[in-house]
Amino acid sequence: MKYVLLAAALLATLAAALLLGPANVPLGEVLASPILWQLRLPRAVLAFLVGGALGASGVALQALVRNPLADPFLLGLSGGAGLGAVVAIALHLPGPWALPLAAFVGAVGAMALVYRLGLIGGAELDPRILLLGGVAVGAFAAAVTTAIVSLAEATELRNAFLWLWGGFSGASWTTVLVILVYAPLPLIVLAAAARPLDLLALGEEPAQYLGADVRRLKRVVYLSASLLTAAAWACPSLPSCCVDGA
Amino acid sequence: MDSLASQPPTPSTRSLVFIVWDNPPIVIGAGSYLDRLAALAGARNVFHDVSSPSAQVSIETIAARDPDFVAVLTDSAVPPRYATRPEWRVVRAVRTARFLFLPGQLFGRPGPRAAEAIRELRRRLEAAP
Repeated sequence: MKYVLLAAALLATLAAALLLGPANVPLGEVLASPILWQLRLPRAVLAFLVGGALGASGVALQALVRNPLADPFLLGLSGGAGLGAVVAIALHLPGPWALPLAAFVGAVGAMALVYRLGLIGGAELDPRILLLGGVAVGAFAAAVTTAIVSLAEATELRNAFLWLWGGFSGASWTTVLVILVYAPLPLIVLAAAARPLDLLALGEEPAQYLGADVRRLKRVVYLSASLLTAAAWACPSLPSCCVDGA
Repeated sequence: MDSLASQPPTPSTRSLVFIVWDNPPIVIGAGSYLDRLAALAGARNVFHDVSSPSAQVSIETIAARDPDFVAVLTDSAVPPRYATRPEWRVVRAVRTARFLFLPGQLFGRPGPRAAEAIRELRRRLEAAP
C-alpha cells in the first residue's frame, strides 16, 4: 500500500510539474509542445533522479553510521562541491563542463579527505570520526568558499550564489543522460548492500558473526554513496555554467 | 528625435526580445529606453506588457511569446554563450540564430545619438530576412 501511495504521489507530482508553469500550454497541445518536451519534462525527470539518488545515498549513510540524522551533506560533500564550483567560477575556467567537473572534483576531494580521516583510528571506518571529519571538512570548505566569494567581482558573486543555491533551471536531456549513465552502478552496489546494512543495524560485531564483511561493507557503501551524492550534486549545474551578462 | 517620433514607424510585425541576462533570464519591459527605442524603430517588444523597465522571466515564457529576434547588446557579432545551451534551444529565435547584435555604445544608453540608434535598428530589422 505504501508503494502504491508513493507511486501515486510521484505521478501526481510529475503531472503537476509538466502541466503547470509560467507559460500556458493548452492541454490539446501538450504532446506537441517544445516547452513541455525540452524544458519541463527533462527538468522533472532530472529532479526525480537527483532526489532519488540523494535519498538512496542518505539512507545508506544513515545505515552505515547508524544514525538517523546522517545525510550526504553531513559528510562534507556539499562543502567540497561548492568550493570546487566557486573556484571554477572565480578562475573563469572555460568550457561548459568546467563547473560541474570542478564541483565533482571538489566533492570527491572532500570525500577522500573524510575517508582518510575516518581511517585514523585504525583500519576500520569509525562512524563517529567519519561524522566529525565530515563536519570539519564541510566547515573548512565553506570557510574557503566564503573567503573566495567575499573577494569576487559582482558577476562572479551572482554566479557563485546561483550555483550554491542550486536549481534545475538548466536541466536538459543531456544532463538526464549523464546521471542515467553514472548513477546505476553506485545504486546497484547500494541495493546489493541492503541486507548486510540491515545486519549492521544490530552492531558491527553481530553483523560480522552473521556473515557480513563489515570492513569491506563500510568502505564500499561509503564510496558508493559519496560518488552518487557527488554526481547528484554536480549534475543539475551541468548547463548552468555559461552565464552571460550584457 | 522628435521628428523620428512624429513619423509613424514603418509598419512591421517584427517582434523582438531584449535579453540582458540569461541566468535567471532578465528581459527589458515597458518604461525602459530600449523598449521605447524598439517601438520607434517599428518593432514590438514581446515584453512590452511588463510595466517595469526590466523583469526576471522564465525561458518558457520567452519561448511562448516567440519573438522573431533576440536583441543582444554587444560589440561583437558572436552569438551569446547561452545560445548553445539545450534549454535555450526551445526559443525559436535562439534556435534559428536570429540575433540582432546592437553595439553597446550606440544602444546602451539614451543620448544625442538616440535617433541614429533608431535608424540603425530600423535598417537592421528591414535588412533581416
